[in-house]
Amino acid sequence: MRRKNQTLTVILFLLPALALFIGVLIYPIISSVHHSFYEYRTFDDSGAFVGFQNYIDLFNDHYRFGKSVVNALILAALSVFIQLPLSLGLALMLGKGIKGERFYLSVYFMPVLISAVVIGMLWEKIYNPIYGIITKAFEFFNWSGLPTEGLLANKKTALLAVFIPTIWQFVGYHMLLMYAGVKGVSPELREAAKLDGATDGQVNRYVVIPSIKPVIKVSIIFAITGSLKSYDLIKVFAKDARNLPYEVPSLLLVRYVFGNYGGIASAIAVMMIIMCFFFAILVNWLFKERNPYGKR
Amino acid sequence: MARDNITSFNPELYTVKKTNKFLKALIYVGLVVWLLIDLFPIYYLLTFSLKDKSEITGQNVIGLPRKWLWENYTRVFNMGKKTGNPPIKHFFANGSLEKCFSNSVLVVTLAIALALIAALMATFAITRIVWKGRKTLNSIFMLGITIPMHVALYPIYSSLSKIHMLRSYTALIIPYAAFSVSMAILVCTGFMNDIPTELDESACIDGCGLWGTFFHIIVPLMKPALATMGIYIFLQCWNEFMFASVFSDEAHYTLPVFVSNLKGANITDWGIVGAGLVLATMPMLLVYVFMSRRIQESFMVGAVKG
Repeated sequence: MRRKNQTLTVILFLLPALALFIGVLIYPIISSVHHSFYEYRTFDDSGAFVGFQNYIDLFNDHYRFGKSVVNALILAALSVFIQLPLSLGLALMLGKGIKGERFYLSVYFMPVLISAVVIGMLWEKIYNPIYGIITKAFEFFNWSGLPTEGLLANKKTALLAVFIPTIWQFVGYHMLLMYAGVKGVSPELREAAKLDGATDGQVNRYVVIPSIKPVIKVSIIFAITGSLKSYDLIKVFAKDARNLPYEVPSLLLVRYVFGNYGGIASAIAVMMIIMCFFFAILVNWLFKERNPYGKR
Repeated sequence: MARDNITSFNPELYTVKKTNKFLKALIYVGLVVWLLIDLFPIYYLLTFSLKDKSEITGQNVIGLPRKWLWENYTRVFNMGKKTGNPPIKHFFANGSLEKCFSNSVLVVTLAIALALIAALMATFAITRIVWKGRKTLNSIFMLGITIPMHVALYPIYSSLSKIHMLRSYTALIIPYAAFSVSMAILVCTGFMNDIPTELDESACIDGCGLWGTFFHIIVPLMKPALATMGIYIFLQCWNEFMFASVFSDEAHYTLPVFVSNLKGANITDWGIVGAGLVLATMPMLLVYVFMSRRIQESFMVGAVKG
């Protein structure tokens, strides 16, 4: 298929995608790295060159970045260790083939389609300390121990209160991915294991889960990066309030972009990219097939 | 290949089965419990959107509304519209529900079109034309999947404000399309590799150039991929909030921004908030009822290929 003007054709074919990619992904990354070395009090005025000072300042208490990263990591850990096992359990139960499987699947997946803004406002109502449903339930059963300022405002419960809507929304998503994996396990494998006398639990443990490892890997990466960049839900809870117990990096990013801290905001952006790549690579590395007899 | 029967299930294949009765009951209980957890907030939302303030805040929190207050919904439709005497009735007033809805439709449709065209062309150049460095370029495109959209916020904001394009549809369409391109290329590559190269070759022998091959052979065969990707991008962009709230003004608000604005003025008026949430969510859920299988498949392809 070699032609004289092939180079030109290739360039023309790549042009739209490259233009979008360079203009909206590559350029912003370079520009963020560049901006992170300057003050950038306003959009036009770069201010003084400060070197790595912005990055050092990030971990100052004043900018609250360290705390926000810890929060994001806690959310990520909760996702990986609570949400994903729950999804896996549901996927395994559904994947075994039961009556009404499609119906369950469709309902479980439905929350994924609802905007996080809607979910945030709905949950804000549920958490309302005066007439929210949780308060009412505690009153009804005469339980005590609910923080009077509301679950979202209480320092100890805030992160959990943020996590619950997330899990409600995204269990279905991860369940669907894993379900697709479970369905992809060849029935012959299951049958063979069954014939060898494996119980359902053993089939799941030794046949199904090992074969859906790639899907689990993708789910873990999505869960971690998703937690690191969570914004919508938390923004709805936070509105314009500050000093919240559930601040996350992207919330600070937006705040500093419009709070005349362009340099700091850029440094946060760079840190977010690094963290996302770090965790993606880490999870990939953890899931790499290792040969027990040394290098392949 | 497995794509077609990824959700289909043949019970005959599972014949050797002696599942513990108790375990089976336990599985059903677990499934039903999660089903109720999933549905309860929706039920709660639907009911409180039809209640008045006193019912919501105390007398009747969980039950069905005692008086079905459809007025909440009319009030949502009247939001953002100028009132006067006589009230000026106009649809598509800035900030009204219809306007935000149509903004969303416009922005998302154009973003999908742009992303799909760009991705399809790039995929063709990467998978079907042989040239040096195509593998490298492909892996560079794949990095885009991991990059969070948020990091582009500040640079794009500052460059858009310099060229005075901040408050426009373009300011949303371009970022949405750009951040969908990587995933679209990934999925399109998977689909395009399933198309035999013999087709290209025979087209070439019949005198078709690269462009001819692209338009007459590849594009028609890629229709299923485009549908799948279109749905996926739609769902990613439809609910996007950060860019939509930062880059637009009242004339360009999308649906999520409309929803978030419901709270501002009506902090305790939960009836109208509930009605607004329902109205913003229902179109999507209705589409889902009719297309659940396709929507689920598009998500599975997106992740399984990743």
